Amino acid sequence: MHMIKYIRNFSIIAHIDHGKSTLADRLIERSGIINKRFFRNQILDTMDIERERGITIKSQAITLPFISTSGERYLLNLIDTPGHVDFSYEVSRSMASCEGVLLLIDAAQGVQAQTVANLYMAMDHNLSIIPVINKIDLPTANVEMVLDQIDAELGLDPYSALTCSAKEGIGIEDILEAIVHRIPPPTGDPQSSLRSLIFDAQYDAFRGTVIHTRIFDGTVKQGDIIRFMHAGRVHKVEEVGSFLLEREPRELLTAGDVGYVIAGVKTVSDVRIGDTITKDRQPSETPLPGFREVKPVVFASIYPIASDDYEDLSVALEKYKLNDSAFVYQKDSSIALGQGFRCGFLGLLHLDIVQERVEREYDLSIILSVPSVRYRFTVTSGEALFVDNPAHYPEITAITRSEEPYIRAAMMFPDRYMGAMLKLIIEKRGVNSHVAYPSPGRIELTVEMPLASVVYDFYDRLKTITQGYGSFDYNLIDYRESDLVLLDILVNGEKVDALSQIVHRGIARERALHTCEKLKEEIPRQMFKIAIQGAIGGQIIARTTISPFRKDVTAKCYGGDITRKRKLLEKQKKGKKRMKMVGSVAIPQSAFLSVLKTDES
Amino acid sequence: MTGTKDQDSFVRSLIMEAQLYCGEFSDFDTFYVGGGTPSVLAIDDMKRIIKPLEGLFSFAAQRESTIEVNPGDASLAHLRALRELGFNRISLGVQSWDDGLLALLGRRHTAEEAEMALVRCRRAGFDNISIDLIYAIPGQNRRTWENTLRKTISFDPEHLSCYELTIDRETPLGALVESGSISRVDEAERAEFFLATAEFLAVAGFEQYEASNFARSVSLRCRHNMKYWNHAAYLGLGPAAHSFNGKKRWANHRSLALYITALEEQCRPVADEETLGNDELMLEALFLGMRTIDGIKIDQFNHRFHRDLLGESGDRIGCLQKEGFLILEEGSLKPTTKGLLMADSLALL
Repeated sequence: MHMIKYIRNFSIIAHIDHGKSTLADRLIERSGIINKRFFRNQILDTMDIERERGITIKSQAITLPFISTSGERYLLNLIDTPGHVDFSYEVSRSMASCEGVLLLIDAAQGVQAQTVANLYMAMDHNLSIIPVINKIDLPTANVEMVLDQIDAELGLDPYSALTCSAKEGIGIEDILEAIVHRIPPPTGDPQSSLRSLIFDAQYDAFRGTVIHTRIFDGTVKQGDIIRFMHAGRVHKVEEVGSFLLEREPRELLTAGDVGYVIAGVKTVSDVRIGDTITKDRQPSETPLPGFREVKPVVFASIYPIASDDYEDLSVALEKYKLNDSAFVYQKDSSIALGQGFRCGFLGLLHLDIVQERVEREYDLSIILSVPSVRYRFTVTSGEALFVDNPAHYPEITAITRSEEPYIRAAMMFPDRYMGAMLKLIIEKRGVNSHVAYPSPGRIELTVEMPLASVVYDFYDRLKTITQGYGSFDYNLIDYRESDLVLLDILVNGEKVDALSQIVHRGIARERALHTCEKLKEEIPRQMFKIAIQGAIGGQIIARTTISPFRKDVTAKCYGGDITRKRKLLEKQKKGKKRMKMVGSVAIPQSAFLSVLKTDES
Repeated sequence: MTGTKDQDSFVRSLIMEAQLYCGEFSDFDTFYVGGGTPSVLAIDDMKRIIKPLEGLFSFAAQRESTIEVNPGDASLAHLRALRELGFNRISLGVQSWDDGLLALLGRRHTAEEAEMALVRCRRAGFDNISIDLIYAIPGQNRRTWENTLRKTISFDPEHLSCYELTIDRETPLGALVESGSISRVDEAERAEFFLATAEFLAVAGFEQYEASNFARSVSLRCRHNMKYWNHAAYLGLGPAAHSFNGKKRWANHRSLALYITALEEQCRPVADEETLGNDELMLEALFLGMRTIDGIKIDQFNHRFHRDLLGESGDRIGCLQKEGFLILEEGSLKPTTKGLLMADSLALL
């Protein structure tokens, strides 16, 4: 067993694309636990989607052996964190498991909104912070600028900053030495009652749920009867161990350790991130602080394109859910789209991930309804109804008060984009904005706005407006009264309920027009004229028509033309299978997705 | 083909190919020489092909024998010789009566030559003449097109094939379209041309029995081409020719050299071959059937493909009937003129 003073627990925190995964790879590589030849880029991001998007969705941990220049042998526990605002609670639990962080900043982009948000979170946890300026090899790198920002915007000592190029492997040694010398060893009493923080859980088809945990006090070993203090469940420990490249069983995990516990827990949904593990006998009196129930904030329905695939979709979601405790779903049905599922997500990225993984890993074509937040309606009986599905919009005459969730959003961007950003904020119904100038030329804009405004293409717009230099972070604050209406979309007079949206009256017409136009672009012309309408109640507020296709017969079809023609039609037929029939109109999957996007202009 | 030597080996190869299929097909009641420019083949060569074929295959007594003729190659002697060889139907590639458009289309003949050719065909004794025309050429409008049709029917043809322009890169027009200096006639206008053609020829006493084909009477329909649309078997000989035996379809090498080489080595000169499954045959039967005025015989279709067309697609068919694309008549599902325009979509029911 390793002495506690030779253990270091740390995370790398960074704004998206500032090189977190690449740095993690370098640290792993340097530790020598993996033969370089077999090194697959970005070991910590095991999912394809993560590698493609260059972001870490789910956190993982790894233990790295390291011998310092003074010859001491250390065990460095790197706890990876998800890099997106949707997963800020998970990030906070990872941080709570650490004593220090590497705050990674891109040398060209400098400090961004998530850098600040992550720093605050690290400060909240009293972590030692080592600023690391990455990508110094880039021609656009500006280390001086970043040092100034570290001083002025982050309030950290610029002399404490290290520089590196994770890509080129420059400065890695210094970082490892700094981890050893500047991050304190964990504290904790192995003799106390067990208190261990769950910061992640993963599903293993053979072993059930593998709990990722940090032991604060006490010890845990095979055979122990453990209890999850918030969930109240009791389990018997089957195996404990460390994360090397693969799971490495150990006899015991003790105070200060980061490792895993396997205890016959069937699904990850049975485990709550942030829960405290203690022993059933001699339990700890109080759980570790900071536990929160993770609640979905964005809701949408998922339908299979082919209704025959409903069972397959059901199985796919069940399997997917095994590894994503934040994802919730229940049965739902649509008049236009048939049987499906109503799902809750932590945010839009989370929604994208679920959609992509279900389609990719289970080979299903699915349609998503327009995402919604959870609204609150007070009805004449005085009852408050939470509605996250437009299908459950209350009887209009019974509504006495409509409210929607608000967030406080923090954005950082160069000041030249201020005008365009203010316009966006007004359009998105932002209020009580506050402007700060953390350093010359940079603006930090804090604003309260409806969560629904962010759900609908806010992030893409911000990125476009600021040419990629803007960044964004948010947290939910409260519910506020709002003038809401139910917008329905009709195709040839038939309501497509998956396209129904609860929207603020002020943007209803614009949204209706936008939806009609998007559908017009995406729905291929068919043999009939197609009318697309937006309606509030019985009132049509927007309309457009798709003129029919009139001639598709080819001039010649003789002996030599038949095969070619058949192949063409087979392709069309296949394409049609990826469309949803609403009445006699075939609507492609892309139409449902396009409605969620705004124009580039 | 450029020289007599080429023509020699071509003729020899063609006969060798025919020998390979001897006995594989039942009686032939139609014979069609076309594709490319068969009229450049000397009558002697034609004779050297036809005589052996008549020995190798059995032909019905009342066979329809068509040959495609370029107006520029139609001397009276040549036409008379073709008649003597047993051809009883001429397909003449007139395309347009406008020399400018003909040049644009890359055709080597003039309107005057086409006119002469028609007169000579009659004089040579052909009483079944088909004329090919092209519409929706950039620059053409409904009035000029109707004039083209008017002039064409003044020659009293038994049959007309009116094709929407297919843009060929090799032609001057193709180059202009490619470079963007001329744009294609748009889809709505092409539909108008199609309808105008159907209406004009209906008044003139022609039946549109297929999307692009019109006949004076049922007996004057092109029996040979009907085989394609009825999904019947056919044997094609020569480079780039396609054949279908009811289950398999194969295509010969397009290159004359490859074609000849294969046959010299006693091999079938086949470049591509496919065996069609039930679903593939069914889709073909649907899109071919929807091109013709006779449509799809429901009983026959159900029996052949083990389906229940009305049972399975009744709603869709009902909707298409209501919208005027299809009619259900005498146990057949028949496209209307509006339906013929959308034959491909109808096939996807």
